[in-house]
Amino acid sequence: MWHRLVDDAEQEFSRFFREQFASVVQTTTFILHDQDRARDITQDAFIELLTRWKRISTYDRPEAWVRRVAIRMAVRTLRRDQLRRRLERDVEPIRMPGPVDIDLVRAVAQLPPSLRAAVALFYFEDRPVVEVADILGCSEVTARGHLHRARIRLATLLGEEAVDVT
Amino acid sequence: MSLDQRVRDGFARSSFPMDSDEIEDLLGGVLAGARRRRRNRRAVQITLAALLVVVAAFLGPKALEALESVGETRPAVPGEPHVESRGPRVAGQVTGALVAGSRLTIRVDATMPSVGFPAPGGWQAFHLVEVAIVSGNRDLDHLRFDIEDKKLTIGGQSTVIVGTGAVATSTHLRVSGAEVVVTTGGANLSFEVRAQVVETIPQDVQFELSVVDDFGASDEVTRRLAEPESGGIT
Repeated sequence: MWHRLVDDAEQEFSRFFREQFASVVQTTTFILHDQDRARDITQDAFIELLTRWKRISTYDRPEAWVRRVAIRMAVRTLRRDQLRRRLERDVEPIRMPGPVDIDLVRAVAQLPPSLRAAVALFYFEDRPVVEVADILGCSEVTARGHLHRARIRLATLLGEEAVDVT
Repeated sequence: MSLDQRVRDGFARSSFPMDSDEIEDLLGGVLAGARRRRRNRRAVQITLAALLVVVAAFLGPKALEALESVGETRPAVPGEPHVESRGPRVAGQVTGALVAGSRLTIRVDATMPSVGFPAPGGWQAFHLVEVAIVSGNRDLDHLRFDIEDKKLTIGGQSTVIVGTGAVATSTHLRVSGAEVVVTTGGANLSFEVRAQVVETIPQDVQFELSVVDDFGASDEVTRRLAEPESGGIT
């Protein structure tokens, strides 16, 4: 009986994993600019989710929970890397697959971690501001603020005009 | 092309498909990782149980009682935190008065023990401190402190950055950012806010003090307004 319960939970989790994993990896990659590390961090986040699956699976949006965990892990990794690069005077490497708008990628790489996360969720995952706020664990006002500041910074770096569309 | 369109197109072009075989491999890794963690936890529990047997046989009832209390949850008593085997723990107290015009001090003390892989624990693993002010099963007011952004939101709308002179006001409270003190160190975080009561709070009020960590785990205790200490010259 116990094994059947565990199997049912793992099957349910596996279905969820197949639906969500790739998009969480992509969002985390846009924050870290490193697909390999993004994949590792996303796996860690899903392990955390599976150990709490019984509770989290009852939430309205478990996909928001795992994204929040993955993004916080990625942001923490990024901050540590940035500190190490400041100390070692390294240039941030960019390991993105496929054809990229390199100027855009470099501009996003210059955003602080929380703004990168907001930009990835709003533009890549196409989430409304209220969901961006929920995943980042902040108020809607704060999420709008992140996006507004990100737009202004990207516009400056790319030589474009920023228009608020939130 | 507008900036927004360029950003959307840029992200779309930079995205990459993951093939199903790769996803299945990674799923296998996640399932194995979680099973390993469950096995490790069971091994710890079995070891602890065996230790209890040894202690009962050789060291007597008093030592057995001490060991049994490890990892159990004790009921909260004023000023004492929940004891849980992992995850955040919270304690706190509320002092002052509930009448309009008076001061109310809310203190939340949180501890985040090390939980090993993947997070090292410590106070940096905290995400939110929350206080719900409840009377007769109704939420009267709410405070939420975002540890990373250092922002205190009261009443769900009014926000101040801690350490600034800005003021936030809700139905029952007024708070200045300068009157919020956050102390951190090691595994501990202490959050204290001195608020001015702008509308009298009912006497049956309870304060639900909670902390949430980066992984969604939380702990909560409920407090009533502490009785003022007796004192004076006798």
